[in-house]
Amino acid sequence: MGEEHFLEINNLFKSYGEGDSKQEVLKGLSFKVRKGEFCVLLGPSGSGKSTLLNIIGGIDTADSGYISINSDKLEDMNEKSLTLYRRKHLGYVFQLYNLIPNLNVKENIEVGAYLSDSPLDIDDLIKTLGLWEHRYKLPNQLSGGQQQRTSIGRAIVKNPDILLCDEPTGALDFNTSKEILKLIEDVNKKYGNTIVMVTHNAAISAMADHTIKLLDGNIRENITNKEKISADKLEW
Amino acid sequence: MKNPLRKRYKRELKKEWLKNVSLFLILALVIGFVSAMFVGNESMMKALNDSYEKYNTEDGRFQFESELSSDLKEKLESYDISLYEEFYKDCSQDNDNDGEKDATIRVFKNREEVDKACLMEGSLPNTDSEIAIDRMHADNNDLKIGDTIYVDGNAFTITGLISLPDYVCLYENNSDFMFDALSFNVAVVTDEAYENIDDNEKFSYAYKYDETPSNDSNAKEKAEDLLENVVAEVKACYFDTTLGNENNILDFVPAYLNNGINFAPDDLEGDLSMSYILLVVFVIVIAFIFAVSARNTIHKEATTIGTLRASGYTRGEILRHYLFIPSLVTLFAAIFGNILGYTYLKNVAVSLYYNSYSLPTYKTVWSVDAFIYTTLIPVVIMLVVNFLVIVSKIHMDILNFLRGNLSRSKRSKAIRLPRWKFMKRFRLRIMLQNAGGYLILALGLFFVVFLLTFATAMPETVNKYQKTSVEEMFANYQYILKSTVDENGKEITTESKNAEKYSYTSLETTDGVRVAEPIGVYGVLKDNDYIRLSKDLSENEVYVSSCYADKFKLKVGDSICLKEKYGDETYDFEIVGIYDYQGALCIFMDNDAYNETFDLEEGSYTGFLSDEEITDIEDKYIVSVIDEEDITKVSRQLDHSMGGMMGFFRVVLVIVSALLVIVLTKIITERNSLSISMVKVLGFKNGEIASLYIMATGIVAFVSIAISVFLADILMSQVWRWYLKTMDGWLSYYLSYASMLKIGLLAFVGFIVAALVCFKLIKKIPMTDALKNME
Repeated sequence: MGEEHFLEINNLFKSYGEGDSKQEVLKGLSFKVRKGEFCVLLGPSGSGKSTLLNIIGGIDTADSGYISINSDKLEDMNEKSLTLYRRKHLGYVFQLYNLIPNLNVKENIEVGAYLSDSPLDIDDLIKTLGLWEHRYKLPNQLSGGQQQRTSIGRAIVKNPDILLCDEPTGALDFNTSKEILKLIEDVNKKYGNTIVMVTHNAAISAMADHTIKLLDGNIRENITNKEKISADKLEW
Repeated sequence: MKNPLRKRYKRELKKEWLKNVSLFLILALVIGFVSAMFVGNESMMKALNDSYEKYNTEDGRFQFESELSSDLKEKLESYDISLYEEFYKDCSQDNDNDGEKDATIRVFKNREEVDKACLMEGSLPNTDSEIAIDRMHADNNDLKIGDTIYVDGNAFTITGLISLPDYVCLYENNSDFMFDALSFNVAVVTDEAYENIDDNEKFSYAYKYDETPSNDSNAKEKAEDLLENVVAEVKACYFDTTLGNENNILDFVPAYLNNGINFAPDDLEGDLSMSYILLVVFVIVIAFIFAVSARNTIHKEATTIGTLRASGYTRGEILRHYLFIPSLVTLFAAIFGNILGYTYLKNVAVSLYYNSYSLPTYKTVWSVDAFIYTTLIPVVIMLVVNFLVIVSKIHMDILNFLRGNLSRSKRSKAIRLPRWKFMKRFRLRIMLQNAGGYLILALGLFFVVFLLTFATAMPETVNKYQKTSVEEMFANYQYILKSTVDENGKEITTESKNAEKYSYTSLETTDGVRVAEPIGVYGVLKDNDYIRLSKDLSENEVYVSSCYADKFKLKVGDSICLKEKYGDETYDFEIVGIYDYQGALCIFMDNDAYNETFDLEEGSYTGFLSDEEITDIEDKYIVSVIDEEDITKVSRQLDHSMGGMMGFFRVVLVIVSALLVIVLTKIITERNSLSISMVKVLGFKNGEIASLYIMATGIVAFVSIAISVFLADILMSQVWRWYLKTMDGWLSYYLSYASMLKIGLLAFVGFIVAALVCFKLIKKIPMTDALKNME
């Protein structure tokens, strides 16, 4: 794990609406994430964690403050540069898998590979994902866990610097959730990507290097986990 | 690495096969038809253009009362023209020797220098008993080489089928409203055979300029100068009787105004423009259908698109993805359509013209225009329309996609509906939710109804004209005499008790919707049994025919100014009534006033009207006889030229209409598949769901068709007026209510098929769709 700060969030403010209906979602957040770190953004609904993830992903903008990745400030980037930034450096995993229904598992992963100049070996990745025997199946022939694995494969195949995960286990049962978390952990170890995961499940923070607890748009706690446990040991 | 999204195309094409195949077929048929028109037209136009040089087509023609003296001819040729005799005799043609006239045949000597015959089959006549006749007329009357026809009772063997460059379109008179390839014929015979025919000879002279006009406006300028000079020369010579030069100009037709030469190429060009407009409108309608379908898919795939965008896919990549299938279908339809256009449909298009015009032989030429207009432009239209419709969706924020919220409407509350029963309100909500799709459906239906109106109104107008013009004929026979006195100065009269004298001449308009349009002027004796004017007319008071009033929008109390054709004299009249007569543009005045107006002796007349054939006046004193056959030749020719085509056109339109409604109804049903799935989960039966969704579409289709039928009728009547006002003559637009109802029903047939298809589709939508999407 590298020592330098790869991702820096500085005094970030974000609000929605105007006048009386104005709602401040982020209220001056600042924290740093090291390269290769597994960071969990933890908080209840409405705490601002998904908004923060979207701003890090360049699909939403902050009112003030900045985010820098590898010293590049997102606020200095125009639309085209942001798209390029996402294309080259980010992978996204959502709660709902959002797979392309008429492409099979392998093809859905190829959709991610297409965006990279040096993608990971697809077959090797499919094996890592445990989807080898399902690689020619369409999404509607897969279980929820298998679909989420495919979506992780799509995100990770381009070997992004940062993998952003928005409640990746939110729609899955306990065992499947643990399998997915284990997979993310393995990916982090194997490929060394920085992972930022949003969750409302406090138990998941036990597997993270770094946990940011959010409440009402403020950082309530910024914890570095020195004794993290493996995903398959998690209980909730 | 190639974009893996490409792998979706084949599957999308397969999944949406009904839509894609339907739209492909519509596009391919329309593109094929228009491509055929382009290829056929370009080939025929080339043949026509080449023929002007090859057969040395005239620059114009004069007709004189008598043969020009060599002195007058020389004087006229001093105006930088050469004159060529093209004398002819209009004879009776009897095809089966039964003594009944089957056609009028205009017989010329074989032409050696100008307007030379294009021999299409057989050989030109060599002996006194041989004749070469027009190919078109021969086809229409089933006459072949080797057949014998009787010209003024003389037997002639047909040795050749020809096309004369000045009679490509068989206009008997240049001012006729319509050509007549059924009962008018042109022919060439040997000089001796021509001399043997005993009939009134007409002294027509073709002219060629010494220097060919550089363009149309130069041709017009030259023709006007020439006419002025020739009129002046003829007038000057008229009084110089010592030279024997007295003569009169009966007709002057420069080539650019000659319908026999120009009507066919003008029609070819006009039809090409119309068919191209048809193609553009069709492609736009189909492009909108694709665009609506793509928008629905984008709505359905919003979260996936959001994920792709969040992963780094650009807007351009997503846009190109959704533009690909419409462009591909259009491109394939264009290729397939062009293959059809260059092969089978080209022959159909060409035969449409060869069935109407006596065109010279053509060779197929490859048309660059056909490629551009029927391949590139449809693809470009498809891309532009889809781009414009989709781009606003694609430009939405990634977050909107991820949240599945692609609605641009800022409306936070639903529209309040009246307190109807639940199902009615539900149905109305469905209509409001699908307003965009229904708007396209309404536009598509209007387009189909408009074309159906065209295909129905054209023959119906012609039939109506045929019926009314026969019903409104003044008399069964209308005779125009060459002179009212015979060689001995004795008044030509008849014993027929039915016959009544009348006067007739022709003037032309000076203003209004069309200048220089020929207007017939009738002088009517008081108490005439054939033309009954309801009030006594004083000088300058006239009735106008309803046909004239309709075309020029004239009403009682208006004044009209007419002028003589080859002179400057003008005549002002006041309209005191509209005479119910659709047969021609004409005015009716008191015969005494007529004689006074035209400086004629009191009691003068020009012919007889009679319900019985007059047999006691020698033919040589008669200029023309107008009977039922003459009156109906316009409608017969129109019916022959387009009758079959319109029936075919109607069938094609009903199929297109059905496909259009099926595709749009299917798109709308699919767009609502989640809601349908949900109401199924709630316990609604398939029949109830159909009554909601299909009925909603049915109501929109019904209302759209009803409104379209009336709008299309109004629009078509205006298009008809706009088109016909550029031509001599008039056919009043007519479409009966029964036909309007029929058009509506034909368009609705499509919906019935669509309803069946969509009911099947509704039955297939699984309940799990709703449950899966609720995860």
